Amino acid sequence: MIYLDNAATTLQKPPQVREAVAYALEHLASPGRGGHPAAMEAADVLYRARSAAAQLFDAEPEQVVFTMNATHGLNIAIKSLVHPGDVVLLSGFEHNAVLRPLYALGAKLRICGRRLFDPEDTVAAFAASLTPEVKAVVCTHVSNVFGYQLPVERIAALCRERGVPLIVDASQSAGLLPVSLKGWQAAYVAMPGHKGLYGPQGTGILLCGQVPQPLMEGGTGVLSRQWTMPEELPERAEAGTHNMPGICGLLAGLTYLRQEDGRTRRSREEQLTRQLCRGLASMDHVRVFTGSPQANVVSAVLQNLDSETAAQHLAEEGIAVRAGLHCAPLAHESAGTLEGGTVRFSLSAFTTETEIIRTLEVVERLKSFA
Amino acid sequence: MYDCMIAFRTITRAQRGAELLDYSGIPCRLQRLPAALADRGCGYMLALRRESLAGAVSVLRQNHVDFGRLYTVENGVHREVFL
Repeated sequence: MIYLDNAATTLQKPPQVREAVAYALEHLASPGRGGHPAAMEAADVLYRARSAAAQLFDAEPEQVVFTMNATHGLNIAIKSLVHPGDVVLLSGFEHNAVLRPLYALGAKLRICGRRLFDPEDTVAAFAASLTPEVKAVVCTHVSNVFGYQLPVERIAALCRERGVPLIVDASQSAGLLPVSLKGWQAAYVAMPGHKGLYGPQGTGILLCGQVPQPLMEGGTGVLSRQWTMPEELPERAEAGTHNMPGICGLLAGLTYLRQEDGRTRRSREEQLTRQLCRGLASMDHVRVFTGSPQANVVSAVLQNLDSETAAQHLAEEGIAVRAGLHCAPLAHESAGTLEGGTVRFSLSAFTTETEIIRTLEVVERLKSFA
Repeated sequence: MYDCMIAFRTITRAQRGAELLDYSGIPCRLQRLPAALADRGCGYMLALRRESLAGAVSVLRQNHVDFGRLYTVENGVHREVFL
């Protein structure tokens, strides 16, 4: 199989991730719940995973909260900062993991920056819309549909200037692009463990620039006579037993990223992404969404096939892609693709040039289908 | 033989403390807080040598790592100390 659905989950992992998960299943008990060796080793692995993430994302270990996925982290962040009726500013490329919690809270949404691959327009739109009544800003770092890299650093600077807390959705960028909690001075940065960090599904990280409100209350292994959650991070946001097989695997993914030369890996993925975009753009029956800056995610529309049918043909040829709306109808509305959706190709560190060439050959052949 | 201890409210604080002490060359061991000292329920501590205590406290304060009470341990008896 040629796997080009990495924006959903990186299915191909470094082998040490699988080994770490298996090790945890056999050796790691509940961290912070006992003084015996299996509990203490679990606590040590948990802390090493926090430290590894803190180092990669320019944070302190205590600011690293483990979550189930990015959606979980975004829910904690949004529900800590936003109250019913609050005005919240967001980009035109946000995922339902942002939209649905805000809608459920009854927030007033102000959407800005809807032009693809136009960072100057995005910054200007945020600057114009960031008025005093805005209580929080939520911005994705990279569109999960189109790969557009939003100018988060400049949006963060605007938020700092105006004293408005910023939540960054780093679901598609973490592990690929530099992410800095301290540099951005964001209130929160949420990310999954199972995409660019190469960890298992069921893992995620919330970097906390502020102390959040707990989304769940429960056991923390400390201060057990208190009726309330601890005030301290990360325990405040981590009720219940940790997903140790997942976190142990995530630590292996983070270690893999630290051992690899990030710049070389990024440059290789950029080169393959450009090759894919050029190839798709050269086909008469394909409209490809490409521009700069673009991460390792590419969307396309085939003029002769709807997105689901095109993805089905690709799957029959052994190529895994994702079709439809990608849980991001707002992004499709911004790009004018809400009706039919797109076919999305997303790369990883394990994608090869041979796979890109083969994919282009198959898409070319789809021209003959009606 | 560790004969002193620093209590922490959370395990992560204790782990951060242990990491910093390790960087500073101060040996210590992460352990559960004895039940008699855990007045708010379960907790964690770093056990260390008495001669390291002042240096350890200084490292923790310099790095803004909050800690709880300090104790000496002699014949199984804990005595709070102040620095």
